[in-house]
Amino acid sequence: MAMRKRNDSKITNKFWAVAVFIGVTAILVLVGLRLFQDRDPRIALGEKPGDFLLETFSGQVIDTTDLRGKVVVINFWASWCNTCDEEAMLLEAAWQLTQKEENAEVIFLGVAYMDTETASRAFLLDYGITYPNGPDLRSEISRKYQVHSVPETYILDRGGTLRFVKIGPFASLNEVLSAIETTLESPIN
Amino acid sequence: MFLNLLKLRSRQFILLMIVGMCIFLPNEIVMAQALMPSDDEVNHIARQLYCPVCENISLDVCSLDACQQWRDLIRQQLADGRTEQEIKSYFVAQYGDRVLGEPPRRGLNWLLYLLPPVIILTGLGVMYAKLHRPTLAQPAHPDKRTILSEDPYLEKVAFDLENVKQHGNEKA
Repeated sequence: MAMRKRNDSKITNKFWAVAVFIGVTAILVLVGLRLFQDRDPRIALGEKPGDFLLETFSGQVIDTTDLRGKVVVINFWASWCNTCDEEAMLLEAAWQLTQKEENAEVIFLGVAYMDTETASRAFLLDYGITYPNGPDLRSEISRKYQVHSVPETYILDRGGTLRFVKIGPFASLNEVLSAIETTLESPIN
Repeated sequence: MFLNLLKLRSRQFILLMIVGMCIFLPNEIVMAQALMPSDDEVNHIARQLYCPVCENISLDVCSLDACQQWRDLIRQQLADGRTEQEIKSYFVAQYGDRVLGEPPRRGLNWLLYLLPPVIILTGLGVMYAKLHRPTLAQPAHPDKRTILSEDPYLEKVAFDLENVKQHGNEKA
């Protein structure tokens, strides 16, 4: 009788040990999944990052699905970023050059990353930026592109496929123009 | 006579100016102070928000230029009469849930709130059950049969001894 009770007790202990082990493992798996969800790898060239809506500081709403057929240069910047100011001037110069033709094939979109609206507007005014710019509301656009720092620039071909990525600022106007030129020449997927 | 009157009037004028300044100037200062929120008020909200571009640093202690901009924004919004909740909602709308020091109670975030108390309560329950498990009262001198029935080897030895005893008696 006592032996049976002892055996029963051993079985109960084993059951609890297994239950606790399964519980702890399940918690660790869930926490791990959550962490990996937040740290997705960067999007790769040849992928389609997905479309988004950009509400510009001037109130215009731009849907990237409407931009098929054009090369789209998406630049993530911030007013507090030390290297964004020089790059902004290069991008503005490139924008002006690409808009000279009547049916321009290139469109620039500036996305203010983790910035305050007042500071963003002042930055655009200070550097005379005229291409469409807007805030990254709820960080949804930067999450789509897995942006980790600023400046970062992504160039999509006419079909919406990612063809060029620049992490950090462009060094010269030629670098910007050559990246656009390469994307313009790339076949559409 | 005229000079004396002028002196008296100028003294009265100066006195009036001083009295007027004492009455009105502090009010102006107080009004200006009331319009501009204090650092403590700003930091009270900044403490609940996290710098979106750094790791685990709350806005009240972050030294980046960006954080200074966000603190200024909080100050401005407080001055505009926005409530704490409205300011926090604005930050979430701008930068996402990651700015909140306390994750919103929805979806998988519930695990963060529910699991720790569940684990602690379960642990306490297991400990309580272990410590207060009813134990069988052990007799001071355990019954011989009980001991034998627990060990098959001893039981066999006892059986053999019994046989030897019986056979020995028969022989005698």
